[in-house]
Amino acid sequence: MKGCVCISDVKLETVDGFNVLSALIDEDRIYLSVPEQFELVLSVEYFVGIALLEAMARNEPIEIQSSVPLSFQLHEQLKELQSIYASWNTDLNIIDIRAETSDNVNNNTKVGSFFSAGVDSSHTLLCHKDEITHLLMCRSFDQGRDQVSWDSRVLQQTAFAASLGKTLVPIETNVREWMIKRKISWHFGHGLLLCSMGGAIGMKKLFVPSSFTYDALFPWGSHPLSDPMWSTESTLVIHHGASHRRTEKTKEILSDERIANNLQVCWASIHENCGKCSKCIRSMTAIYLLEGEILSLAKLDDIDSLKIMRPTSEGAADAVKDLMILARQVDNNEVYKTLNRYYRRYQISHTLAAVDRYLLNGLLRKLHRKIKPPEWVSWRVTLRSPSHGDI
Amino acid sequence: MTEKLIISDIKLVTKGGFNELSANVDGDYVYFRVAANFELSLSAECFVGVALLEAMISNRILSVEGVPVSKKLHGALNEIQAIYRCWNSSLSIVEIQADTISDQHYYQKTGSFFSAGVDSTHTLLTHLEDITHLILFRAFDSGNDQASWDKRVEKQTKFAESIGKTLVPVETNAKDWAIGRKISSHFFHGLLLSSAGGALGMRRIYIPASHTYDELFPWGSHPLSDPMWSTESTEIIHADAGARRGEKMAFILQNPVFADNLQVCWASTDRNCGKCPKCVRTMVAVYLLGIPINSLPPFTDFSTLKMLKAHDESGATFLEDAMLLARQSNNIKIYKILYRYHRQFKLSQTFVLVDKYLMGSLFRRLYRRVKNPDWINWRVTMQNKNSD
Repeated sequence: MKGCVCISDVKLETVDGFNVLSALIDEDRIYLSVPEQFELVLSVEYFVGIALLEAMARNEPIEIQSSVPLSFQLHEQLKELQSIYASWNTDLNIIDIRAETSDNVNNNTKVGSFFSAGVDSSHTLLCHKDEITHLLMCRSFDQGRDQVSWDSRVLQQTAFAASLGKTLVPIETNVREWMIKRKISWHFGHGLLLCSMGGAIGMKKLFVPSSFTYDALFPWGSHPLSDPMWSTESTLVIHHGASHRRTEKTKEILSDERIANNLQVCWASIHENCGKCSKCIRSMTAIYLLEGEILSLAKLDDIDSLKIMRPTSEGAADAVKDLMILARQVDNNEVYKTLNRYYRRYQISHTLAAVDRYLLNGLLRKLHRKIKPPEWVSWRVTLRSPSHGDI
Repeated sequence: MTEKLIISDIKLVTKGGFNELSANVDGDYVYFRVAANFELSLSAECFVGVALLEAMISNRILSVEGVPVSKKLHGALNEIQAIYRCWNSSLSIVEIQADTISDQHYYQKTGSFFSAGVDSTHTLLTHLEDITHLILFRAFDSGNDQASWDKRVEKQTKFAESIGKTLVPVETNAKDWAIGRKISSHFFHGLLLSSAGGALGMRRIYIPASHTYDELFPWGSHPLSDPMWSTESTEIIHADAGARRGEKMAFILQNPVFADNLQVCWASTDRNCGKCPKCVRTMVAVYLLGIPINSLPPFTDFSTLKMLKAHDESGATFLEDAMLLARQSNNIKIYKILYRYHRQFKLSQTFVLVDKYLMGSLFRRLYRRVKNPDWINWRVTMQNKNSD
């Protein structure tokens, strides 16, 4: 180990029909690539976003060994950004970033929004339709790995974007594999990846659609507090949509047929909706309650299929609660009661976990981890330190 | 027709040795007052901060007459309200009707809200070179009698001068106005602080954080919402949420001049009683860090640790801080005592969950019937009163 996380050999080249921005992070080459009709900008912020959690976990500075300067504005913000991350996970350390800096402003003109065609990103597109020029679709997110599915998706979304007068920019990167290798939680790392990318793809403004609302502000890679701090002199990063619950977003989306019919929410597939997975069912339920109908998703016809939404995490419980609120608003008692049953079961298990913790000294949790060690236990960097809550 | 909450008759006058910015807010006279040697700016933003929660709970258009509002702030108010509404869904997002202006005033002063408590002293130390003015609000953490206030102002003026800063004592009836309207001060104080910057002619205002980035529960002063109150002329910074209170104390104790000026007491505003929960928790931190100070008596009576018992989320954060400090200082005796209190709190929280999800909130209903807690009667609380 060199005593630092080194970013070096930052370069921009065209390879086999793609523009590729890449760098060595330690000994690993990390790249960001787009089809060659799209420009990339030679910059380092993206690689700082990728390397930061690794450096904080190792308690080693980041050193940029390149003549490409880092944004002065971002450099100044990085300490506070790290404060946020280190508050969430106290195993992380605040480290120095050693780099040449510059406060030059690139004359970017494009306004981008990350876009998966899901509810969150479709809602952001809807809200800022007049302003957004480019839809940015990253392969690493919610995506299958096979080339055929990806190509099909790119084709589909390119046509959709064009129908709205926008340009789709498909983006490929090997960051996710790198993070998995380094045992860095994707729940955490994905946020830094998205927010640090703006300058590289030449955006003046970059919308990052929110996954959660302002009253569900648990630690998450993409967060309304931290996302805007990744802004530079040239790129303004905006975390959008945290004011709306997902069902409220769905309701607004239904007012625009083109965007609604393009919804792509599925866990199982990236270019069609299976109508069976929990994400599909959750969206189908919202549309059903709102008495909407869209071409991209089957109609909900069996209340029994709601059971796939039984929550096992805070985020999933939040999604169920959101649907319950909607069900109550539209006086659909059947859906409300069904979801309420699942929600209460989750809360009861949550309560039992608390009882175990404070009355049984965590005995059941220890047993469970011994029998069925959760995957995240082996990760180096998670959103919370493993000892979080143990004071 | 939707009713309006009107802010009108905004004026700046000098009277009785004070500069006073005042307005008629929904029929009531609300003022901000500083000594005549300090300038105030004629501005509307602070009254928007005062009136917003009232407008949101009563679902009325907020109308500002006579003085334009910062265009930048006006543009942010929708999102600010969205945050508040997410926290408390009883609130409505309301329209703000006002002329707007995007002119920039080139203020020179950098202020920091300052009570001489741990948070504000830490922020002062951390940004010492940047801060020029310390803003002391009478409405917060302060006794109301004139003699105490005068003493406090005198003491902190001397302290500020000793470090090359200027103290700006600010008197206002805004908090009383909010209390009269049954608006929780946990919520209201944040809006009041965040919106006052322009009136005080500050180019930048630091609002010392009460909680860390890990404690992002709804609170009036919050790292998300505070900066959104910035205008073209005044940048609002929610400061130092990355530091735990133990870390803040450790930093302060390295600077005796600041440590000896600490004023944390609930019972008094010009000295520390050494008996109230705030004094005790600070004394415990000082004791664990092993550096005595003149502004607080030494911690000697372990029975007073019970003052650190937590009754809500905010109180729990102070308890946890103290536990961490005890553990870092290898003080097992104190750690064990606090650990017991922490478990009691967590058990009570667990019982609340058991009551809610297994007993249909039976105990909650009984408690409310028997105790009739004060906050039940508030119109605006931090979160919904009925969280089902």
